[in-house]
Amino acid sequence: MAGRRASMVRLSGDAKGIRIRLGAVVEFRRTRTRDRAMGLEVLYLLIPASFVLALAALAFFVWAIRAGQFDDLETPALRMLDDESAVDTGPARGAALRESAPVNPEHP
Amino acid sequence: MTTESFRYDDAIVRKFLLATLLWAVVGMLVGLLIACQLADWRMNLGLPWTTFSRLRPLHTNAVIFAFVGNSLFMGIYYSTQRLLKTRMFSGALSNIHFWGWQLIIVSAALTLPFGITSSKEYAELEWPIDIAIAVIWVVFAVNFFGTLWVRRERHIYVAIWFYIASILTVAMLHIVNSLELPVTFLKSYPIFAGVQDALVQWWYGHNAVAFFLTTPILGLMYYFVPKAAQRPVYSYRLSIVHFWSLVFIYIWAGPHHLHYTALPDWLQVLGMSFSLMLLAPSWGGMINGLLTLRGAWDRVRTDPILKMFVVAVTFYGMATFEGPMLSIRSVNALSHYTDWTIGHVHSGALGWNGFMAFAIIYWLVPRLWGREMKYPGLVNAHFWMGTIGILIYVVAMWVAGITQGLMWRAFDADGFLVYGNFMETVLRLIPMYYLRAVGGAVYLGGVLLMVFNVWATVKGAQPVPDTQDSAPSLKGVPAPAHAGWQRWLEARPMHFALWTLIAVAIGGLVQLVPMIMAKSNVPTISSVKPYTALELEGRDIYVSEGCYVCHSQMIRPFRAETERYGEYSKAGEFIYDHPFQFGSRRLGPDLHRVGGKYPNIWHYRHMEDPRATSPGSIMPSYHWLLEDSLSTSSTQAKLKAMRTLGVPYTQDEIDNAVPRLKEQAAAIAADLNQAGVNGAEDKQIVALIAYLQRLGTDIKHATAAAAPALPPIAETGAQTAEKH
Repeated sequence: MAGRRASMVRLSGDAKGIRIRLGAVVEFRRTRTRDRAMGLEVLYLLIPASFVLALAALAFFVWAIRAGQFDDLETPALRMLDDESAVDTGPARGAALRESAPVNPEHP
Repeated sequence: MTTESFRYDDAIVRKFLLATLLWAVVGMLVGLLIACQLADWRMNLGLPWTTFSRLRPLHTNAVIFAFVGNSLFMGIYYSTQRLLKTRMFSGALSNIHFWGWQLIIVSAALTLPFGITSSKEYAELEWPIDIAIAVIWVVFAVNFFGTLWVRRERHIYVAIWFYIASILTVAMLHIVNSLELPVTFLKSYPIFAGVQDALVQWWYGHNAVAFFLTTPILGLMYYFVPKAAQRPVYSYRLSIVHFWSLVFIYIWAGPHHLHYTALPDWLQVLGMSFSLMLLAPSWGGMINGLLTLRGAWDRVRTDPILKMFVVAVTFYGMATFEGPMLSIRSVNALSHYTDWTIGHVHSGALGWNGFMAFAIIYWLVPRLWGREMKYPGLVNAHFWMGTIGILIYVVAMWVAGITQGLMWRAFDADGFLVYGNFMETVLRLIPMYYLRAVGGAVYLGGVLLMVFNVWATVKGAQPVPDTQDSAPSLKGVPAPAHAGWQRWLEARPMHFALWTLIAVAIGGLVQLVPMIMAKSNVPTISSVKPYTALELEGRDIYVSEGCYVCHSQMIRPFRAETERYGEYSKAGEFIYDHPFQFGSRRLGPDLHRVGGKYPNIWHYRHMEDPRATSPGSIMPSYHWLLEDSLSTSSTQAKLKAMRTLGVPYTQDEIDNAVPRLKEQAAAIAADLNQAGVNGAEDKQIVALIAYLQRLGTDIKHATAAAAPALPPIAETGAQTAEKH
């Protein structure tokens, strides 16, 4: 309990201890305000970087719409279920697949 | 329109699958070892390279980049070819990617345990490996975008969108966070310092979670869950909304790792706001994944693969609820630096990443080797062991985290800290650490069952030919509303996106870095001075041993912390800290104001045997620091590198670095000699003591100097001096 003893010693001081404590509250606010202004030039890098990413996403989004990627929001979800069924894939593999992956009744 | 026949490259998927199994075992085995080390310090084995603080980064790197990394490459190489109806763009690039990535992992295993580290979490690897990662990532990107280029399916399925976002963003994050100045072949300093370095690191760190552990896995979810359930995704429209909202919001959330630190408040609030917003897209994705199983719930009862997907997506939902909650500042005030965070990341890593990988592996093995799993019962056993293991782990960490957080801030009726001795708050957690190790062991047991099962299944299997498929060529087929050669243009925006991103990033850096460098006259605390040569060497030892893994250097402005540690930490005190050492977990007390708190001999004895000075401590012994000599061969180079980064060392300080270092070391050794320790002046311990004794003391010197320009700091210094 060394820490506890230490804090007791600290608090058992005279009025001087209390005065410093009040001073610390005022000082706390002043320093916080000043801290905000310093040492973060890296934001000149990170904020543009974040904007570049966001703009790249936006450009990509616009391209995607123009290229017709979102014209049909139904069939792509169904079509992706279809692959691998088209062509014979060899005896061992075909047998395994027929067992493990029953053909979807909705999309034979 | 001609129908073309082609084969998918399945061999590369098999390779990534086997690598996933190997690294899962390695990464989790190291995890189990370090879990045991926290339960009983003797598990550190007394060897430098098996010590917790060196192995913990190895564990996180192995699980994130080796296990999850290989699993997502496995899923991406399998699904991309099928969704785009084409073989991978280049088999050579695929193989360079595979072997290069494994080589990077091996190089991590050959550097981190030997103390070669940058100390930036999840980016610990030193600069030559950073360059290798960038090169291999570009190889992967070229191969991936090349495959998009030669695709036969015009529509790009939503899974691919997630892969694209992941590849681009990870490249960007890795490059920015790895900006560092090499000093020697395996040592570098990041170009940013202190609070800036912390901001860049957690911008990277959080988005490594976002764009390495989340978005690619969501892409896999959108491919493999519908495939396994034989159902289309619940709402394709929702998946598109999910994608765009998630990628936009995620990138801003990083500062929530720095709540109540010296980072400006507005950044903390910005990070918190975006983190809270993340709940919506995250849960949209979770709901989309779970509801894909609508109408297939009867199969979930019997099919262990679907059960694993359900658990994985459910854990994704839990983790993405917990994450925004923990990023609320008032919640974070309690949870930060505790095991709650550790529990949170493991519900993501073990629940979401782990079970996604396992389900996909069990689904792929029969398709890649042409054989059913040999022991279907073991798949089910794996499911249960994994689920139970995670629950034990996460509950233990919740209890440990909240317990310790509450103990740190407990005051009695008279205004004293109830647990003034930090040790009490650690020893209370030991039962939870045993429980955590049990949970981890059960989970690892499930993984070992999977490895055995896959081995038994594929053993002696005939080489399976690559899957054949056919699809009409897109060549010469007019794109909608476009004609002929525009097919090429249509694919190009993706390359465009990549190269513009890189070009803009480079351009931005070229312009911005000098600007940052030139602004060396930032408002600073005048009494904060650069480290001496010996202290700098000591700091590098602190970094190398991984002290930051268990000790923070960031006192938050709470009464519970200023009572315990002293004056709260200020941004201006860290301006020469390349890299920052704020830490993210307090397994031991904060060290920012440790300078001058104990005599030199206390530190000497403490490193030799922590239990000699702090009975009950779980800290490993660092006895080799007392035996190994301090190398001064690169001291001058280090000071020069620091000066290049803007630390105001004088020419004299650089020229006479070594003599001055020896002078300071001799003074500390003489002091140790008073206490009966001989021959310490050329040992590493002296440098470390010099650094520790300097920590957080600069603002106290302001009192003596009575720096008139900075009265508030001087007052603070007076108060701090009073306390110590």
